[in-house]
Amino acid sequence: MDIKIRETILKIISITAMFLCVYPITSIMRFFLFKKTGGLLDAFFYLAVIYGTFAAVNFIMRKNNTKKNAILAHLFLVIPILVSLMYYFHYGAFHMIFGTFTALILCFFTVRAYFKKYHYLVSGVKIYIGIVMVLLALTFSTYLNDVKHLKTQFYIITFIYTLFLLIIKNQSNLDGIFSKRFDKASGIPAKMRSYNVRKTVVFFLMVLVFYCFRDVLVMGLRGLGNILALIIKTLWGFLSKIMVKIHNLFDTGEMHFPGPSEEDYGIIEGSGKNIFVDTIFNIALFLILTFIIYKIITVFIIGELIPFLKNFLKSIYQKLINLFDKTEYREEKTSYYTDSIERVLPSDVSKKSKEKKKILSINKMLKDLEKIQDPKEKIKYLYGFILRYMSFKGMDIKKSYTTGEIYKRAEKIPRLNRPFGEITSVYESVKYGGKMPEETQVDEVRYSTIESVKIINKSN
Amino acid sequence: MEILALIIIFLAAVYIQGFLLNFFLFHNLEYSCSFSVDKATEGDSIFLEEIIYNKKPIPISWIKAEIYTSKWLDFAGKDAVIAQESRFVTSNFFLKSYQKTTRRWNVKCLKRGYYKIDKITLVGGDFLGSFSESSDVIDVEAQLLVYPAPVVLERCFRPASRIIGDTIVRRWINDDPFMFSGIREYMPGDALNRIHWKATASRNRLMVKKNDFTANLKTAVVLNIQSRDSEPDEVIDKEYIEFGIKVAATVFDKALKEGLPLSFSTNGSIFNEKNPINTKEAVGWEHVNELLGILARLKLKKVQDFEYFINDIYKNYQNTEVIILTSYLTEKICNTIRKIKARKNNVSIILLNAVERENLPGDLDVYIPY
Repeated sequence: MDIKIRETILKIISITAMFLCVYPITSIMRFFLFKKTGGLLDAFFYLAVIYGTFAAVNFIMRKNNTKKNAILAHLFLVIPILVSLMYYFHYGAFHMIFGTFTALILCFFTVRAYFKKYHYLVSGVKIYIGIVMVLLALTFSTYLNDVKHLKTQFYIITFIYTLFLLIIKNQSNLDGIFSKRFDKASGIPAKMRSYNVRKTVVFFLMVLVFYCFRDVLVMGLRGLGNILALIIKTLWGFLSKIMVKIHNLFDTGEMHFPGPSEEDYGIIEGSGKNIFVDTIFNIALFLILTFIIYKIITVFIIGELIPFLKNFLKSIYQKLINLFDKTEYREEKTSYYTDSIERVLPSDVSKKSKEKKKILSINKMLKDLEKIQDPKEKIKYLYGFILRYMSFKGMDIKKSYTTGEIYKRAEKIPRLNRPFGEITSVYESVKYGGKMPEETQVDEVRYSTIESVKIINKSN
Repeated sequence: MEILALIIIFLAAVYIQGFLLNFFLFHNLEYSCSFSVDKATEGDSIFLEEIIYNKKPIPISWIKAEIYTSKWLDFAGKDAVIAQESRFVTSNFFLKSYQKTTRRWNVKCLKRGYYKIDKITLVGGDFLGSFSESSDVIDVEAQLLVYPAPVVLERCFRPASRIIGDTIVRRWINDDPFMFSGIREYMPGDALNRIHWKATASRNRLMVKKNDFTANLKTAVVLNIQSRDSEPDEVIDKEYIEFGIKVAATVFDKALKEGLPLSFSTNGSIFNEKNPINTKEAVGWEHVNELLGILARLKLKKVQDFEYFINDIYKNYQNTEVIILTSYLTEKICNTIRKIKARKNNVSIILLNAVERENLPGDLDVYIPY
C-alpha cells in the first residue's frame, strides 16, 4: 500500500479513536447539565464534522505545505463552529455553546492530527486520558440509573476504541522499530504491516470472545466439574459394589464365631470345607480378577484411548495451524532479494509424506520438455524433474531445502556433482537472477539431467 | 465488576501476548546465513542466502537480522547503510507458525577480498511493543573469497620503448618465444598439456614436447605492494596496487593456460600473516588457484621495503621470466633488477603508474600503462 494512503487511513482511525473516547463522557455531561442526550444522531454529527474537517484540511494542503496553507487549514475551524451553532441552535443557548465547544475541540485536534504523525492523538499521556474518559463514562452508565440506557452503546464504543488503539499501537510500534537511525532505510516486507493488523484484530477478537463468554466459560467449567464429579461418583459406586462382592468372597463368617472350635483347624463343621483352602482360593480369584481388569484397562488405554486422543489432538492442532493460512509455498520478489516462503510442518504430521511417488521416465520428460516453449520454464522443469527423481530414488530432498542444501546432498553421490552443479548453476541464474538461458545452455542442462539420472541409477 | 473484569482481561491479554512472544521468540527458531558460492571473481553476481525457520506454533510479528559486512559486497542498494568500509543491512521478517523463509539477496562482488560474516544479531519482540525487544547473537559461517578480475594486458600496457599508440601489442611477454623443437621423456613437474600423446603411444612411455630453451621459462611475478617510494605501512594510492593485483591475476591466468611453472612474491602479506610472501614455483590449476587466493587475501600494507625485499629475493631466479609489477622505480630497484637480468633471466617491468618516459631506465624492458 502507498505510504501516503496508509498514513491517511491510520490518521482517520486515530481521529475516530479520539472521538470514541470523547463522545461518551460528553454525553454523560450533557445529560447532567441539560437532562437530555443527543443519542446516535449527535454521534453521527460529530463524526461528520471531524471527517469533513479532515477532508477539508487535506484538500487545502494537497499541493503545497506552506505556512499560508497551514494558517488557512486552522482558520477552517470557523466552518465546523458555524455548522455546530446551526445544529444546536434549537437546543438552547447553553446546550449550543456546549455542543459547539465539543465540536471545536474535536475539530482542532483533527487539524493538528493532519500536521503530526498518525499516532499523535493516541500516544503517551493521551492514551491514559482517553482510557480514563471511557472508563468514567462506563462507570456512570453502569451505576447511575438515569444513564443506564447508554451502557450498551458505551460498551460497543469502548470495544471499537480498544481495537483502534491496538491497531495504532501495533503500527506505531513497527514504525518505531524500523525507523531507527540505522534501520531508517531498511526495507520492510510488503505484507508485514497487513499481517500485523490481522494479528491485532484476531487478538482483539480473542479477548472479546473471552470477555463476552466469561459467564458461559464459568458455567461451562462448572458443568465440566459436575460431569467429572458424576463420573468419579459413579466409579466410586461401582468400586464400592465390587469391594462388597470381594468382601463377601472373603467373608467366611469367622467373625461371628469368636470362640475356639474345629474351625481353628480349618474344618467347618458339617460343611466339609477347609477355610485355608477357601482363603487361598479367594485370594487367587481376587488376584486374577484384578489382573484381568488391569489388563483390560491397560489394553484399552494404551491400545485405543491413547492413540485416539493422540490423533484427535493432532488433527485439532493441524486444523488450528491451518486455520488462517493454507498456503504451502509462495515467492515474493523485490529488486534486492527473493523470498521463498513455505510452511514446513513437523514431518510426522505432513500430508506430503503420505503422497504416493509417481514413477518418472526420461522419455516422458523429454516429450514434456519439447512442449515447453519458454527456455526459462524448460530449465525450471528440468531442475524440478531431477529433484523429483532424486527424491524418488530415496534421497532426502525436501521442499524446504535450498538449492545449496540440495547440491551438498547431491555431492555425496560420486560423479554427480559436475552435471548437477551445472543444472543448479543455470537454474539459479534463471530463477533468481532472472536471466534468459541460451539454447546451448538449455541443451547442456538437458544432457546434464540425463547424465545425472544415469549416475543416480548406477549409484543405486 | 464488569468494568473491572474488562480492564483485567485486556491487561492480562496484553501482558500474556507480550510475555509469550518475547519469552518464546528464540525458542525453536533456526537461522542461518551463507553465500551461494565459496569463491567468486570480482564483478560476479552471487547470492547471500538467509534461512529463518519458526519451528513452533507461536507466530513472530517481527524479527530483524542485523548483517554487518564489507561495503565491497554490494547488496540491498539504498536500503543499506554504508559507513567507511562496512555495509549494514537489516533483514526484516515476520513468521507465521511453522513458516520457513529463504531470502536470497542479490550480491555483486565489487572488489577482490576475503569476506566473512560470523555473527548476526537477531532482534524481535511482541506486536504491541509492550515489552522491551529481545535479541540474540547467532554464530554463522558465511565466507567468501573474491578473486581479482583479470584485465586485458594488451589494452592496458604498451612497451615504453615504442612510440605512443602506433601498434597494438598482440603477443606479449611469454607468448613470443614458444617454439616446438622436439620431444623428450616426461619429468615430474611437467604440465599435462605438454605431453606428446602420439610419441607416448609409440614409445610406450610418457613423452613431452620439447621447446626451445627460452620457451621453457619459468615465470615469476613480483608485486611491489608500495605505491610510493616513501610511504607508511599502509598503501597511499590504493588504486595502483589494486590494479597491480589484477595484472598479477591476469599473468597467473596466462601461465595456467600455457602450463608454465609459476611463482609469486610480494613485500605485502595476507591476513593473519606477518611475513612477505614467497611461493614455490609449480604448475597446474590448484597452484594458480592458491595464488589467486593469496591475491584475494592480500592486505594493502607493506611488511618490508621493496628495495630490501627485491634485494633479498633476486638470487632465487634463474632461467626465469621475471615480471615485476611496481608503481615506481628507484635507482636501487633498477640496480637489483639488472642483477636479476644478469642471472640469465628475462625481466619485464610493468609500471602501474604512468611516469615520464625520460625517467625510465633505457636498458630494461618497461611496460607503461596507456
